[in-house]
Amino acid sequence: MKFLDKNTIKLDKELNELDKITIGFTARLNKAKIKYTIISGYVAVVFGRNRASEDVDIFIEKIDGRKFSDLWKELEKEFEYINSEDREEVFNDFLKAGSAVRFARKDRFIPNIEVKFPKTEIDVWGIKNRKKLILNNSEMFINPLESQIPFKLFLGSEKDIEDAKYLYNIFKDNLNMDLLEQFSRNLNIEASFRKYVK
Amino acid sequence: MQKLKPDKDNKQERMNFVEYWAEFVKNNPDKVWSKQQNLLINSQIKNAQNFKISRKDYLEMKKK
Repeated sequence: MKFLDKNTIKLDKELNELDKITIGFTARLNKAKIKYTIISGYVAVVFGRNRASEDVDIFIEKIDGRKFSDLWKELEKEFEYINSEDREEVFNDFLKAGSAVRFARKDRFIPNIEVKFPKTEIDVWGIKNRKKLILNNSEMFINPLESQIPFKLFLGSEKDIEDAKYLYNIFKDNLNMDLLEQFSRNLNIEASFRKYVK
Repeated sequence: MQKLKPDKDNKQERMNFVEYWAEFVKNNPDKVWSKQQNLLINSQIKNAQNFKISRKDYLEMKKK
């Protein structure tokens, strides 16, 4: 793995099933010109964290029904929403109402992609400041690690703390430490950071 | 690369392994570490796919 510049990381790996579904899904988002950022566990897994995971979490920018319709048409070439075939229901009753919606490849539901609109300022910041990941030859966007690491500590489960420690160990020479500390202060996890990560 | 050492409890041993694996990933080509990682991820997904559960029950489980 290498940094091509401060906003772009390149990986050239053997792809696993999570990588493959994420490449397929983000290619559709890229094609529909929807801004998004991948968050949470897959950000650690894609960089090598050795743990089980069956879904990938993505924030997409808030879009209207018309744009969602365009996205739906693009996604349904390869994916389906796990619990409904009614596009309007998925948009109005779930996504717009603040719930996450899960897409999977047709005829299966694992692995899957969990999509949601951003709710907090940090979520919106993540989309705006996302970083480019070139996974083999495919482009996708991930949340900045400086917010991802503190947020994992904030969540606080054993798995999340290990994800935070792993990402820090992998990227400590490339992180913006001021930004990392700022997020740690805002989320009030400085003690956890000192105890588990550093 | 340093050897992985045993520790006082399971939690600390897991944390030691996270550090150990991160060092391995940093010091080896992507193709090398990803080949090992894929053994775990792909087999876990295959097991989950074989688990007899309905979509509805799966979504209920994820909510919890």
